[in-house]
Amino acid sequence: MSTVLPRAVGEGFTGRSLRRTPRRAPWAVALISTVTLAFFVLPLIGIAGRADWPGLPRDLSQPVALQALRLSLVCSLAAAAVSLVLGTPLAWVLARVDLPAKSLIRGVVLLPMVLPPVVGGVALLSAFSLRSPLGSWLHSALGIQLTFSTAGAVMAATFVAMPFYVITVEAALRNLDVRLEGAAATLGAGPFTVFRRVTLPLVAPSLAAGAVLAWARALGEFGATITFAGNIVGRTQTLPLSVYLLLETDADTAIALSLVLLAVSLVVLVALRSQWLTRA
Amino acid sequence: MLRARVDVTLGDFDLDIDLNARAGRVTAVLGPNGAGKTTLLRCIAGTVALDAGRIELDGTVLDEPPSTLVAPQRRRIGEVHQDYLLFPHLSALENVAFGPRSAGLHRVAARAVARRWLARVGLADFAEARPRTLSGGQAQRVALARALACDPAVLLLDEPLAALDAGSRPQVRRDLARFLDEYAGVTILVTHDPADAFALADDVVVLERGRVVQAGELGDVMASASSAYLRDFVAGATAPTRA
Repeated sequence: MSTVLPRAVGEGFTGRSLRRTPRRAPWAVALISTVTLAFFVLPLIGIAGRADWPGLPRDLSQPVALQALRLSLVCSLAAAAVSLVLGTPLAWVLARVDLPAKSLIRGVVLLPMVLPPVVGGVALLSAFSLRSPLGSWLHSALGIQLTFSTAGAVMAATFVAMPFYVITVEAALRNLDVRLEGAAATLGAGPFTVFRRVTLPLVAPSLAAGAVLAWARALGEFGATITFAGNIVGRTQTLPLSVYLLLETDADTAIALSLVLLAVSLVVLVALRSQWLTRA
Repeated sequence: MLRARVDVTLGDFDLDIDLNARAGRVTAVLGPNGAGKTTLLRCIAGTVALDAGRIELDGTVLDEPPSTLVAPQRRRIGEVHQDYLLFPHLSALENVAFGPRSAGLHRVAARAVARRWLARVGLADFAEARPRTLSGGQAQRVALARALACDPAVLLLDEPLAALDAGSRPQVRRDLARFLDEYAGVTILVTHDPADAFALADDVVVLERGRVVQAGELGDVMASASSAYLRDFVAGATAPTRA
């Protein structure tokens, strides 16, 4: 983003154009890479082969499928929105503020990325179920019940998705040249103006990338949701839950819904890769 | 008039100096790397707080520990950095308008002010240009216009010519001298290039290892160069290959 540095770095690398022929992989590397690639491609071919393509519109328009689609859309978008609003200040604190035991704090925030989602669900259940002190207080004082509700499904999705947002935005804030913010301050801008007119626009691409990553993770969320929010059609049964349960009774619809998830994920990844990840 | 008595310790580096700089004059701060030049600028700008001493601008105290510390955005100080630090996401015009807008001017009025300043530095045609498309000399003039558009009482120039290639430096230096002539406030110029000091400065302060080793008018200081650093410096400035 600096005007001087990248140009100088770029010039240093022009020497590699000495190569005459395009780079080719050694045959052993090519062979193993092909096998590895097949490992990822074969399941895609498998699911595409088993799908009942002509029946796809019918399968996807069933009430149970439509409800799951709608609920997944609501929950994943809500999780991304909550991540954006609540995750941005946290990412800023992690990037900029000197805190004692910061690596421990960061570890706790990022834990859901590596924790089995079911365990995350059990943890949420322990903290917010009606039998827990906090959960029973929420219920008696405010009339809020998180377990077996859509709010609970959003919460479970947010729990596993927000770390992706926080880690992306924190990295962007770290990479930002803080001297730009200093320059804005000497031009008379107060801390909020500096954030709004300098910091925010400069990290905006990363905010978007982080939100999309969090949204994609929330869309695929299964374990924490089914553990914490349960599996209630129209209320907490999102696409992945629906796929899992329909596999027993209506495999065609399960595969149709899987294809939807697959297509959405692929589009997001390819778009992200070209839009943001390569630039970052 | 800027009066600074600066005493600040950063790690094992200790800066302890007096500096007085008058309005309408350019005071060059010279010295080798690590002499404390940039730290001095940061103390004046307000991004580094004094441990002891006092910085006073036109009778107003900016920093006097432990009682007074004025935030950078309230100091009426303009800075031009070595790598300019233009906001990469804003056009040249929006960069220059940033200060006036922060001072509370409406967007349209701030842009009008910015347009006048861009015209004064000869960049009226580059109002919509992004910083990365500008040459080094143009970027420096945008940075200067951005600093001056805030109507600062002090202008801080941190190695303003160091990032330029040798070919464009003389022209940019001449332009800079002209702009500084028209500026009525205090100018502090940090540089290690003798040619910059000769072309731009009225007064000179020489720093070495965090202490002032010489100070005075440009001619006097150069005539009685007492430190080894300054003698090399004068020799370099007067040698035909360097000038």
